[in-house]
Amino acid sequence: MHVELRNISKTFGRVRANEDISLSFSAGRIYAILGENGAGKSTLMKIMSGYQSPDSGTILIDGQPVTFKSPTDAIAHGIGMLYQDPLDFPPFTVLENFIAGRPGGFFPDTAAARQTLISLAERFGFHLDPDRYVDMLTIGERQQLEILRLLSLNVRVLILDEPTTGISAEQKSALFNVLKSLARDEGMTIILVSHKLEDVLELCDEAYVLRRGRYVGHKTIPCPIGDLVELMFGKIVARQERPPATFGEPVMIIDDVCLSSHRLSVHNVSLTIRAGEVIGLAGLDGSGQAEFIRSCAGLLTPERGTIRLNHLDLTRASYHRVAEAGVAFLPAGRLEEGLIRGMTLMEHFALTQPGKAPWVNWMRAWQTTAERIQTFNVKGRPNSPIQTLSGGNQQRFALALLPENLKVLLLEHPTRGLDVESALYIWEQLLQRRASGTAIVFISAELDEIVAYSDRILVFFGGHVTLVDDPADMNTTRLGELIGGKLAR
Amino acid sequence: MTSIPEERTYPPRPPAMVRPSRSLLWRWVVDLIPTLITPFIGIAAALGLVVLILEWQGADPRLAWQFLYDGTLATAAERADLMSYWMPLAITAFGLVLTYNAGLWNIGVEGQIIAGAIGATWAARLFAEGEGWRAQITPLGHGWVLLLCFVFAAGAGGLWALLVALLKTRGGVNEIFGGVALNFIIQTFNMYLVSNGGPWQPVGSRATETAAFPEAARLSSYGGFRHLSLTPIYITTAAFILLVLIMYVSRWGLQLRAMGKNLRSAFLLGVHTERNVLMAMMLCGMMAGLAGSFRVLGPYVTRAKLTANPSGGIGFLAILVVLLAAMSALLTPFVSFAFAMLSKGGQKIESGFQWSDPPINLDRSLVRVLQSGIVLMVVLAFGVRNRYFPPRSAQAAVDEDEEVART
Repeated sequence: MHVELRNISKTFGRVRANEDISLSFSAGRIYAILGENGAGKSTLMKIMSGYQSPDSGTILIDGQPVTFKSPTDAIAHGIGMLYQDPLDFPPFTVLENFIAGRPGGFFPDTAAARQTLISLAERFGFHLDPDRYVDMLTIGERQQLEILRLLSLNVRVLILDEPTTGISAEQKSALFNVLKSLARDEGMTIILVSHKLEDVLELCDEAYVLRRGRYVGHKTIPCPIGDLVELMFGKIVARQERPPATFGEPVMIIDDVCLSSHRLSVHNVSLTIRAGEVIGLAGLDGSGQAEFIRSCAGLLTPERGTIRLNHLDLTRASYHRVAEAGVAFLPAGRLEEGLIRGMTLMEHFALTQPGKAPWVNWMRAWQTTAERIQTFNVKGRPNSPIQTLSGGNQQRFALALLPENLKVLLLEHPTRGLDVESALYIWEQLLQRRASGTAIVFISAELDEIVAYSDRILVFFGGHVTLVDDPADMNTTRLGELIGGKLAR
Repeated sequence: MTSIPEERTYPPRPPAMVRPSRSLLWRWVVDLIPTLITPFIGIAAALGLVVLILEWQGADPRLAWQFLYDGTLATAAERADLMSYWMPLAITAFGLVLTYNAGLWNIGVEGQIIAGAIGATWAARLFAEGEGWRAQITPLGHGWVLLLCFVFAAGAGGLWALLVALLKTRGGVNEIFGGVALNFIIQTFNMYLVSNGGPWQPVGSRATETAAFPEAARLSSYGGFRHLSLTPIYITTAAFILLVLIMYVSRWGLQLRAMGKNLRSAFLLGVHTERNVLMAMMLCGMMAGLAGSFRVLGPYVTRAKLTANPSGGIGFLAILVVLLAAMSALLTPFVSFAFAMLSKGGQKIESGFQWSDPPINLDRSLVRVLQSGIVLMVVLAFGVRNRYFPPRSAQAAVDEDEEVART
């Protein structure tokens, strides 16, 4: 079966998730859809599996255009998707889950379904007890169940969204063996959605790379890891010579910090941030940089190690305590965390301006807001609701809200989704703050942004950290290797 | 396949849309019109529903309207009665305006009214009747007893609400579930106090209520009307002024609104969200507690007692009021007045048709159908409007070019 996507576009509000993407998938091959978080790969696969419909563009199966009304429809056409979080019913048994979603009468034929399940599991070497409850299974076993279910529905194209997150090494190699045999022996098409480069290199034959909603390139594997990184992050412009910056005293001292969240653990980070320094945090999405920056902001308590600001121990301090000490945090999701949908610019100001009086001086709030709007070049009025501003203006406004004279400014993707001028403007503002002695720590998915502005770079991979402080090392090859998991030494 | 595009390429911007420029005021007025019309569409739909039910029962809707008027506004006595029903409903709704704006769905308000009623009764027994540990001490004077009744009522309601808030912030129990559970508990406790030989049931009595409070623990009546007293009116007015100050002037009110719109962002912008949850809930509980005290302190002897159902469901009614008033502090007095009228007039509609010729048996719950129907229809009308005719503020971000044009 040959599947082709032709000129697929999809927008959500003003976000162009997919723009004019055309890809082609042949039978018997394993493809990777690569891209950073927000590159549009999930949207594209949801369109392909019938979960969403495209705004424009067509899906062709063996040359025939098809439209899917639902995932069931797509499965009937032979396209099935395995979601990142298994879509099963934990309080049911394996067999019941297997039956659910299968076409059949009101009374399902349990015995036949059991036979199918057992024989399929045997064929692929999965050990699944039909009578076990699903909540007793590991994520890997639940994936196996889901794969068997899709195979029993005669799926010919299998899409897997980040299948290796949260499964053990043995399960991963078992999964990969099955996927390889499905492609080689049964002529199925396998599509792996991932940003884990080592998985892609191990499993796939070809890789399609998306960036910012657009298709940017195709590689036949094997290929150097740096090539894939370059496609995913964009080509790094040569680092411009900058006047040597003079740094002040150390402001934040992070000593041997270990963090753990439900996703991963970050090991032994030590870093001394000096006044006026810019530190870029690079790495594939979910490698630990978000956890790290949140622990600096007081939102995630380290399991070990200390975080100090000057002489203040902030390791276990609350977010508000850390903020009082002069550390500000600007999260990535502007309207989810940071700004308040439905409130005006002036109300945001009134909310954040320090003041002892129990009442709000609306006159002054109006004046300050109007002033800041001018200074920060925000296109909006003091009484505009924040959500009516464009992304760039929201981000400028978020910067305008920050108190002056910060010691450390922590930013997550400060220019994500912004156009070039807006991004440049944001950095102008940030560099002004840096000149007045504020240290800046930022996460970005754009390697060129990191290289262009950072004095030092901290590269995260799977919770491990490498510090790059030599400008000579700040090039695609070296950083690409580190991001892709080739550790130093 | 296509080649790799150059670094940082962006699609060409669409040409700027040319729009007739209209003044900001005009836009604002245009936005306002549907907002003003929408609730009336909802109310009309709910009234239509009730008229249909009345016609189906063979009752004349015009007659029902006449009874409604007779039972609420026609005579001074009815107006006084309406006032005494309105005050506890209004003050409860004022408290709910605080929590609902903060995104706290305080369903437990019904239980907080009952807690307040119990608190007031306890104070009346202690200080006016000389029960319990005050048995040997001379009962206090009228003013002191009433003051203590209010303090106990507000305290009990506030603590009962604080419990819901602590369950939420410390125990991870959603305030809706915590509130429902605590409602049941306090209702059961109230029944225990006044029924089956409970500690507050007079010896030998079989009625599920306490004895009537002595004169010292009753509100003083005003103008010779049995059920009208000025004190609840003063307290409710003060609560309203406080509410307006909080919601429109204070920093705290702004913080509460921010929390209701986006708790996470409010926290990140420096709002002490946990403390504010506790404080808002407690203040709401205190107002509900005062409402409970208004319900049990008379002034006439038949109402100066703790009964099996001291709140009479005004907590749930207040929830409807605040929803219909769209959580606006300024609208709440009017909406609560309308609902008080419907509730009180509903009794007259029922009895009126019973004695009409031929008698028609209408259930009192018809009024509740109307009240809930209005809320449902108005919320539905707004839902329909926001879905199909979104106001500008609810729309997604506008284009930058248009923004420039507007500035």
